[in-house]
This record gives sequence, C-alpha cells and structure tokens, in this order.
Amino acid sequence: MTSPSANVKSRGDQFATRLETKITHETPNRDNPYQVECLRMHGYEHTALMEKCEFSAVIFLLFRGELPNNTESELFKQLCIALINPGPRHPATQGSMVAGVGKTISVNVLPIALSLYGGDYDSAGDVEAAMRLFRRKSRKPASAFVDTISHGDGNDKGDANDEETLPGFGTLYGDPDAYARKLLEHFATLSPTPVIQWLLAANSLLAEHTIGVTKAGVCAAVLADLGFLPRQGCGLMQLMAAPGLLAHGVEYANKPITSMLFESDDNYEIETTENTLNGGKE
Amino acid sequence: MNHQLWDSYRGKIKTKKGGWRIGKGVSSHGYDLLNDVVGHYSYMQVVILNATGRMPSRELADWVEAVYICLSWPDPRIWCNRIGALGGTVNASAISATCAGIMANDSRSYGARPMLEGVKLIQEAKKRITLGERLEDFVMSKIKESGGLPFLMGYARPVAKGDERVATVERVTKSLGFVEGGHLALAYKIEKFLHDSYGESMNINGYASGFLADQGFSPDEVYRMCTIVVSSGITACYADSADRKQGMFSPLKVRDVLYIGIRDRKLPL
Repeated sequence: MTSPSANVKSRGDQFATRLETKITHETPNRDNPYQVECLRMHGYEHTALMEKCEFSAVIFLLFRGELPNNTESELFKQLCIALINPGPRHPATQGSMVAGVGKTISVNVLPIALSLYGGDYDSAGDVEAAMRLFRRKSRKPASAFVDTISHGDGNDKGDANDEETLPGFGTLYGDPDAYARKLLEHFATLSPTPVIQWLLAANSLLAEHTIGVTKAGVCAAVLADLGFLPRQGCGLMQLMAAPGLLAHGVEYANKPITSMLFESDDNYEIETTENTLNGGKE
Repeated sequence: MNHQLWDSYRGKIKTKKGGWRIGKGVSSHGYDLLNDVVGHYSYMQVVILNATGRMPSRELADWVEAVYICLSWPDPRIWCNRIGALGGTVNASAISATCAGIMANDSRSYGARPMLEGVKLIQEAKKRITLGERLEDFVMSKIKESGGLPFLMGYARPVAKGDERVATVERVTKSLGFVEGGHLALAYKIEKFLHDSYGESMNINGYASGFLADQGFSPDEVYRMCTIVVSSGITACYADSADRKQGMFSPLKVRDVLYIGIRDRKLPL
C-alpha cells in the first residue's frame, strides 16, 4: 500500500512573534535594547531580592509567584537541604565523579549528573507522578489507598500492585528506604500539612507490603503541600540535588584516573546468553 | 533485610553485552568487534546490535539508517535543532549542545520517544483486532483516550498535515526488497480510517513503528536504536550558529518579551 501522507500542507498554526512571561520583567538599557537596565521577578526588583532574601526563598518565588511566608520558607529551605547531596554512592554522583576524573570539560559535569538523576530509582524521575498520586489520594484516609493495593483492584494508574507503578514508593537495594523514612518523619514533625501527614500514615500501613516511601516521595509530598505543581517537581528535586552532585564531581577533577573504580578483568564477567552463543547472527 | 542480591554485584560488573579483555580484544554480543565486525558490518548494524543484542541484516540496518537521515533536517526551527543552534550561539561545546538537543527529542510529541508509543500502539492494535475488535472501534477508543483528538501516536504531526518522509521510506522499503508485514498493513488501514474521517495521515513514526514491529523489535528496542536519531540535524544547526558571531541566532531585544505578570512591588518588611 502507499500512504496519502505525501500531500503535505501547513496546518496554518499562528506561532508567537514575541515571547511572554509572568516571571521576569526586564527594562531595556537606554543605549542597547538587547541589554537589561532593570530586572524584576514577579514584581520584585532583583538587587532587592539579593540583599534581603534567602536563595531558597527566591527559588520559591520563581516557581510559585510569591515569596514564602515563614512556615513555607522553613519547610522549603529544609527540603532543599534534605535533598542537597545524594551522596557519593548514588549512581548520579558516581557519574559526576567519572566525568570529573575523566577530565570531562567542567561545564558538562553537572548536566551529566543531573541527567542521571532524572531516573526514577532513588532519583527525581518519579516526583511528578508521585505529586499527582498524592494530591489525588490524600483527599481520603491513607488506609483507603493502602486497601486498593492490598486488594489489587486498582485500575487507576498509581494504584497498581507493584512498586514500579506506585510513584513515590518503592525499595532501595531490596528494602524500604530507611533514610527516606527518617526524612519523612522529620518533615511530619515539622509540618502538620495534609499530604505529608497522609504520606506518613500511608508509609506506616505499607510496611507489611515491604515497600516504603522514597526520597522522591518525600520531595513530592512537601512540594505538594507547598502548592507547587506536579510538572515543577522533577526539576526542583534535580535542582536541590545539584550542589552535592557537582561537589563530588569537581572533587575528582584533579585526581588521577586510578582514583576511580575500574574493575579488574577478574571482576568483569561477560555472561553468555543464547544470543551470544550464536554470535547474535541473523 | 533483602540486600543479598546486590552483594553479588558489589565490586563486580556483570554484562551480557561484551567488553574489553585487556591485551586480548573486544567482544560485542559474541562477535570479535575489531576482527569480525569492523570492515564487515556497517555502523548502523552495530548500533542495532548494541541496542538490541541482535545483528540485523545489512538491508535492515540500511533501512534504519534511512529513517535516521529522514530525521536529520538541518532546520533550526525544529525544536531539538533549535536547542543545538542556541548552544552554538553561546559557544557551548558541540557535544553538549548536540546532547542537549538529543535530550529534547526525548519528547512526548516528536523525535525518538514517540517511537516507543508508536510501536506499542500498533502492537496493541494488531493484538486487539486479531482477537476480534473492529478497527474503527480500536481507533475510536484511542481517540477517546487522547481527549477526542485524532492524534494517535504515529498519525498526524505538529505544524503540517501529511508527512513527505513516508513516501521516501516507502521507496527505500521497496528498493531494499522488504515485503509489507501484518503490522504495517494494519498501520495503513488505521491511516485510511483516520484520513477518511479526519483528514489525518500516517507520519514517519507510524510507518517506522509498523515496519519495525514486523521485524520483531519491541518498543524498547526501537526506542534504544533511535536514541540519537536526530543528532546529525542538531549538530548541523549548532555548527551554523557557532560559526557566526555569538548571539546572532535568535537574538531578542528586551521588548521582544512581553511581561504579563504582577506589577512592580516592594519587598515586604
């Protein structure tokens, strides 16, 4: 058969000729209209923010459109620090260290690490889906949510029977993530907000399922309670982890390549498969 | 405590792919890479071998290469290419700008990621229709899932109706001696229904998904073999803007951005 698709016509979409934003208001420099004279974010003058605000508060402002109140500020700041360093064993940090020790140009180290940190195992990839799940499910008691898992009757995405489709929950190296639980308990003490409290209850009830909250789940709960949108979640968690990821990569930038892992041939096992037995040949 | 499985991987790499035995050679999926593969197989055959574990025929690799070329337009208005061009204009490295563009094509609406959904769709269609569901009912169920719009993965595309690349790949399919399989035949039938009902036709994703499903590839395998499918066009756009004066690609005056946010205000005391 042949396709009628060869007859190509423009859809006639009207594309923007100017960009528009609610975030940044620039005033042009008098002499060069491409340069900025004054910069405001959500109405606030840039240098005033520099003088009077915490870094984390300005991040909050950029995404939420308002500066945080004292309670929000404390919660958000503590979340930023909670997630600031995935630690040297995390695959994304190892990626950063490999880039550093491999003498990858410096500007590429953080993007490499953040790309890996976009995965959904002990990383930021799950946050958006977890926020959607938590926002929806936290309207009812945690027990109702856990029951849907127990009975395996969840047709709704996010109510599935295995952890792979249960964003914000899972295991870390075979067991519930004990440190994520510790962080959750810390935030539950700090904040009586609904999603965090719901997640704490759900996490306790899930213990019998041998899964628990993940760090992405903790991040999702705090962000949801602070009013962030699900689509902002993954990037915010990446942003929060960036300092630790970068620090470890740069730490290795001046070290010899022998300071990084390179398994010996004895510890490099090529598994024979049916495919490799016949050389993968067609 | 269930961590014992990970203990067997600690300090050790296990792989089904192959590797470098220092002083002895490099293997890939049972092939001696430097002696059996180099000079005997094309690069695209190796791309598919490494992505899927199976060495395809030269004809199949040439077919995939044709798809790569079809997605290598050096037009910086295409989103991933624009990112490459923007990388060039700030003098980012060619690699980082190209990788940034490749990451952009990990998109729900264009590039490589839709291949994942495209293959899933045509495989699901074949399964359901084989079990007795009417093609029209299947298509309408998918239209309902996409909010009533006839934008099934592999059909319709942004900016234009129709896709000139389909006829090109049809020609390549024929010249390489491939015959139409069940998935591709079904893809044409879906296209006919969508064309008759909504004026939409198959795009290159839909065609490639049907063809590659007929070749026995899974959605993940197709996605993996197409990871860098747009890279060449991105690099071209990068090179063009990098070779010009910096900032010359898409320069915007301050007044080219319309501010629609809250009015000027003072910080709370």
